[in-house]
Amino acid sequence: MAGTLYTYPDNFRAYKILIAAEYSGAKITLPPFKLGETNQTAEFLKKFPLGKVPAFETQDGKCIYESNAIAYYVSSDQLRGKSPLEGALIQQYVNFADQELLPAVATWVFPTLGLMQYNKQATDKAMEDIKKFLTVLNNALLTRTFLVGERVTLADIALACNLLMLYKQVMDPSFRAPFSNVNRWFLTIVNQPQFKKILGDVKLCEAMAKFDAKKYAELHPKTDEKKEKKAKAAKEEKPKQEKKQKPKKEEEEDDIPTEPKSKDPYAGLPKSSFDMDEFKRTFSNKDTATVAIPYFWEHFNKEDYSVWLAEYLDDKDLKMIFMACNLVGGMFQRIEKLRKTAFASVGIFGVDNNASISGIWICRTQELCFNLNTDWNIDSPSYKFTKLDVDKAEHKKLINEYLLWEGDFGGKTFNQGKIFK
Amino acid sequence: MKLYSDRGNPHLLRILAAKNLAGVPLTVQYIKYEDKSKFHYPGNSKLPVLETEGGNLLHTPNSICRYLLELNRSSNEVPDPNKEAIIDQWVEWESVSLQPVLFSHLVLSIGLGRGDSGHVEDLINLLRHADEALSSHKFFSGDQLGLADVVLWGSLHPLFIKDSGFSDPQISNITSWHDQLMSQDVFCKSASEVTESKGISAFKDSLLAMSGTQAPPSSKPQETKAKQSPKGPQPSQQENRNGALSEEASQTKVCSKEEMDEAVKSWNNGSKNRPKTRRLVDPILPIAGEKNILITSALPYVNNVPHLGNIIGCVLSADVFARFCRLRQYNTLYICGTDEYGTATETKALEEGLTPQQICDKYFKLHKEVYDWFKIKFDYFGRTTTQEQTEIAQDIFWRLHKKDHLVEDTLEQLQCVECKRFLADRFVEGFCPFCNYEDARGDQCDACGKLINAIELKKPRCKVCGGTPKVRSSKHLFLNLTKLEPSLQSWVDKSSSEGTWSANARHITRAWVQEGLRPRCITRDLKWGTPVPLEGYTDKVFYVWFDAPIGYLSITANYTKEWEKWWKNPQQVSLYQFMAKDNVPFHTVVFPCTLIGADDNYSLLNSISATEYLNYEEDKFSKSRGVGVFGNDAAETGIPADIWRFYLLYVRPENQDSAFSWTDFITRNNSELLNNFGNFVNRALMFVHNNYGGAIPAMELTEEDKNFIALINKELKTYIDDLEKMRLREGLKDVLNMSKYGNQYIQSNKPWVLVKGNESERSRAGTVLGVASNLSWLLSVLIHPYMPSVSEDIQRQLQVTDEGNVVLDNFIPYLQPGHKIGTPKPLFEKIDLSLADELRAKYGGNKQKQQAADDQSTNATNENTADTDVATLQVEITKQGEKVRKLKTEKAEKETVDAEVATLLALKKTLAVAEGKNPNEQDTKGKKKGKKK
Amino acid sequence: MAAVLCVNGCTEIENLLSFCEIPRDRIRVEEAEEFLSHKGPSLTLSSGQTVTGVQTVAAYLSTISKQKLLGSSALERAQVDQWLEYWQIQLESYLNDGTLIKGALRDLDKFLSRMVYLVSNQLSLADIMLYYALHPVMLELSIQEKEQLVNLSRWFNQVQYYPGVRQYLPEVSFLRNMLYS
Repeated sequence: MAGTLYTYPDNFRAYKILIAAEYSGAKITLPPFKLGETNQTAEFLKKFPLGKVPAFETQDGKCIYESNAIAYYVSSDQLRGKSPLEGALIQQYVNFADQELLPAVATWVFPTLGLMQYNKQATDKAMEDIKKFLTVLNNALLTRTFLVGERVTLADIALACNLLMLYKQVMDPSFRAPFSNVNRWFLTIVNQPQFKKILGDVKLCEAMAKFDAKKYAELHPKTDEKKEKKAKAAKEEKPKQEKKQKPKKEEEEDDIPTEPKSKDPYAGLPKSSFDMDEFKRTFSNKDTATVAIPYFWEHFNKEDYSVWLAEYLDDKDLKMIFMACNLVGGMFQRIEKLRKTAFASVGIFGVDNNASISGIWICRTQELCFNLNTDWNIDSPSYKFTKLDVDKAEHKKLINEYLLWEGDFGGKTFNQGKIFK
Repeated sequence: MKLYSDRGNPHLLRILAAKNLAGVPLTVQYIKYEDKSKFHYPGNSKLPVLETEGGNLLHTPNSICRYLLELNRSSNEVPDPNKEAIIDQWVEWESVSLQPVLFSHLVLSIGLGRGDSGHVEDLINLLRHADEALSSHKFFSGDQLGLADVVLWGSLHPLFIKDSGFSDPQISNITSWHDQLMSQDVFCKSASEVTESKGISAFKDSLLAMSGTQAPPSSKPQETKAKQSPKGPQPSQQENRNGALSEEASQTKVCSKEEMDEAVKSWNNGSKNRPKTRRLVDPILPIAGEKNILITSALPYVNNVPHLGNIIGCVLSADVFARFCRLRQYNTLYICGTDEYGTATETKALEEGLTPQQICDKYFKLHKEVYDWFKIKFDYFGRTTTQEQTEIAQDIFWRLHKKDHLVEDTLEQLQCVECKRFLADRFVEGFCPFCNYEDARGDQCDACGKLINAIELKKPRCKVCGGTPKVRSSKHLFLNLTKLEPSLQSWVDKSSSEGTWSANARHITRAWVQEGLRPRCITRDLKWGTPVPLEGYTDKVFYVWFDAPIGYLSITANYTKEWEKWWKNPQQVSLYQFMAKDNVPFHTVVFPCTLIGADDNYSLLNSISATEYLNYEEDKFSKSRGVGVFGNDAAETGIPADIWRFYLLYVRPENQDSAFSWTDFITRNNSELLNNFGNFVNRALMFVHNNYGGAIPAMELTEEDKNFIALINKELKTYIDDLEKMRLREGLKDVLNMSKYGNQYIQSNKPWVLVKGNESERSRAGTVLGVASNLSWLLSVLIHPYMPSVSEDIQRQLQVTDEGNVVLDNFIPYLQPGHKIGTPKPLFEKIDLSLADELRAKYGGNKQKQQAADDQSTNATNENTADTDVATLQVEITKQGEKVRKLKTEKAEKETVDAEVATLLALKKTLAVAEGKNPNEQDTKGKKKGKKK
Repeated sequence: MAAVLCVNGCTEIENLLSFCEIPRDRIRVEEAEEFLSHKGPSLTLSSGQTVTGVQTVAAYLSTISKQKLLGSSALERAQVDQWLEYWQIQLESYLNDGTLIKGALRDLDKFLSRMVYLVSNQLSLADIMLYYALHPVMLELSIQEKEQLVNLSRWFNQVQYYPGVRQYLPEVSFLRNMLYS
């Protein structure tokens, strides 16, 4: 059993996979990986549509995502459980680790790493829940050396990995004192050679870590719209791009109870000379050819805005025209937030069973709007986007055609169109 | 890394050598031996202990040495299994075979200064075995110096120190090996570091300290013969050793230096300041600034003839404690009496055609006689039917009434139509409403112990006539326990934490309070009792359980007009109460509530000792069925009262039920009293009488004597603690331990040999006898609470008065050299075991009498054979033993085997008795641990 | 040249030998003519020398086996040694005396409350030998007693299930559900 594991380093979800592999002898290669980039490539997304890590590709090209599934795959029979009952009990603990324990762990620990805002009520509840869970484990481990059977199984591995943060960051000696059986089990487990190889030395926390406000501020700077408007616009854009990487990490943790903040990448941008709202009003109310288009060319500010040609990639899957229509409509629905700053005119071309979709998108800033916020990234991966140069004649022609819904569009037959405004 | 050790610990030799050889940084921290207890690990803790960087502990000398030397080993070096095996073998041999013998030898020769430790021969054999190995190799570890050498050097070096007194020409290889090592700086330095140029005596303190706690080296591993698990390169010396050491001498316990110093100090002090007891004069009243001990025993109901269970449960226990308190010079008052009111007496009166008063008089006399025979020394034994009782009870009643603790209510009571009387609880029987026990009495169910009201009984029947009683209503007064519950709870908490409460008392009280206290009826429609003074209730009397405990106060009032100094003086008085466990709730709940409610600064219970049940043989005491020993029966057996006292206290049911057994009774007399206690005292005194003209010889204490005195002090301390906490049974065992040590002391010193020797030997014998005689005196004092007559007897033989009857904290030489003793004679007589069967038959109850009679005839023939023919018995035993062995090898049914084994053991016991030995000590030897298959 | 082992009736060594799976070319088992019970197992090394002593033989077998039974550091080796000493000197004598063995079991139970194995985090010779030594005692314990010694029971159960340790010894059963507390 061998394969490639895609993950960023020190991903606690990846530990259990690597440790299981140590036990089973499975060979795992870890290619270089950059979060936000490697897992956003089309190729990656084709294999792993959710774009999350850890993700695993077997030697013969089969793809598996979800860390528990991967761990299962790379395990030996001993780790998986030798009977249906054992297997079920192992599943019990693995699920318990992710569904019950992990949310509470995250709530308590992440603020101490600056990854989340501190919420006293939520943290207190998380601590109580953890106490409850540890008591359950403690009782089970009174008469057991390992969670299931008499040897290490996936249950021990999964649970230990999820408890790692607790032991290292926040469970000080007095907190963990009542759970002597869990402590005994944990220390023995993490000191097994297979664990040590992956985790290194596990140092138990001496003092309970608290909310790291400084770190948090670093990672999530406060955006005060009144102050930073004109002068700091440029400066802010840059840091904002970098910070997008961190929120992406949160995406992996889909069980965080608090909502990840959806930031508005356009917040704080200075007003542009091209008034999108005015343009939209004009486009809606006045005649396109005679008023709107000229208005566009007169006021368009190519510094502040960019125009993109979007071409749907999976045309062959489109089948009926109305289905294509729904597709576009659906996309529009999912990007509500963009209505303020973006404008699009998308056309459905061809006939049933031979259709295609393409259109133009006008976005604020030079960046494709979909890439600025993960929430907007849902449908856009299905399109090929080409930035248009408004000074180029052919592009100008294209823009006009899409605005007018008339023209040859480079050889396509216009069927119907949809406007996003 | 830190090494914790006491100074002069011989194990340091090898550890320091290892450290120096390995060049490992190690700091030695010297601590006191007692501080070793702060290190926790399985097994006997001892020093030295190594604490590594990571906080791990290594606590055996050899593993510490191994560790230190391993640290030095470079990581590339792969150990050669063959070489390692050689080294391992010697290390194992050292710890398993050499160390036990060597250690004992060093303790006795260096620690106690004994010339002949008794181990030299074995030691030499072991060393010769090792010597042989050195003939083919330069070092024990092989061709190079290694762990084995370090370990063995550390072990053997003390033998080579000057003044060790050890030399043997036939271990030349070892000697030259030792010399070779000593020429090396490492070893030389290590040695001098440990001995600090004090020579062999450097090890003394440590050896003594270690041997106090070490598993007796010469007992356990060796006593088990034919142990099949292997012990390494072992000559068959192992088995011989068992026979060589006599059991007594080998089990000398060793005390620490501090204990011995203290013992000597108090000994010397004591000979100058001999104690004088204080005699208390009637009326005994509390003295300010002193310990004032008020002791009560539960008042026996006058109508019941006391049996052994009652006696040990109440009056005898309290008596032992009272006597002890007086010996400790506490101001003590012991009060008891008969509880005389109640229907039982009324009924009995009718039966016998007398008045209740006459009945009480008659039976009171009977009780008094029995207790007198048992030598119970009450300060006052009274009765509840006195004027004082009426006064005090009514006074308390009025106080309760005024403070609103009484509630009126109508009670339904059972009235027997035939007898035309309201039936007291005792006279109703029926099915218990809780547990359905068919013989529940009207106030308490014997089976489940719950208190019940008679009307709650299912299918009640009148005990007198058998008729079915009817329920009638009647007005009654209730003591509102519910209202008093909080005060009671806080008093219970305080008292049980400050005083000594026996465990069962705690549990029972807790259970009662947890159930919730309900108001309790305190009046009854009867004639014979303390009249209720309240308007509307004047035709009633107080319920006996309300009234009886007040008896303690009124009886004291009969003893002295100043009774309130005892009973209304909780600050200065400690109240100790003795009873059987069924009386506990009344003493810990009902009565305290009464007194708390009456609110007149009453002295409340501080400590309570409640016994469980004493059963009789396999049965319960029952007067009606004639089962058990009652009243005067004990006196009629001809066995002296002190022996009865002894046995009852020996089997006092302190933590769980126990049983009176005739066989056990006689056996204990013969073994504990005759062979142990009596034997010791008699031996010592006979010796003095025969060899020293009856005069106590001069005493020059050696180390061994000091150790012995310290040992006695230790036991004495335990005795005092046990008795202070009313653990009477334990206290008795402590005294028997002391006489056992006394026997060992005489046995190991062999004065009968010494006295025939030279001047110094004679004088040694004199010291031993002097100490032994003084121990006899001490025992006479300590045994006094248990067996007062025996105590007197010993003191008469010692020609001392009871003036010195004080239990001091230390053993002192009350008998000074030159003091003349009287003529010694045995304190106890042997009782024939056959008497047991006779007496068992006699008191075994009606149905048993017939069976006993049958057994008697068969027993008689058996007994004769047993008595006269020890040889036949031995043949029987051999035959039975063969049978058992055969069954075992055939792997017969467990039950069959067990039965035959039981028969075998019984035969062995009979043989032992016939030979005059202690039947219980037979089977400890030769018990083989089955080999694990 | 293979070493020659004379088991001499010592079942612990016999079992240990099976557990260690030592190749035949390294060890050969030969029995002596007479069964000398007090002698214990002995080993004749390739050098010709003979060593005796159950600890010594056990350590030797551990060293030449594939398993790592003597710990992985100097400290662990010393700790294994310490347990073997405890076994030989104290435990053996307790096993013959009913009163003392209970105390020893309690001590071990206390120790095992925070440890999974006797030495560090791996199975070692200490666990194996103590398992063999305590087996007859554990077999005789009542359910209640096993429950009171919860840590000792847990350790014992874990060791007895370690592949190759139990050999032909009867299994000692433990209940996971506490009946008495």
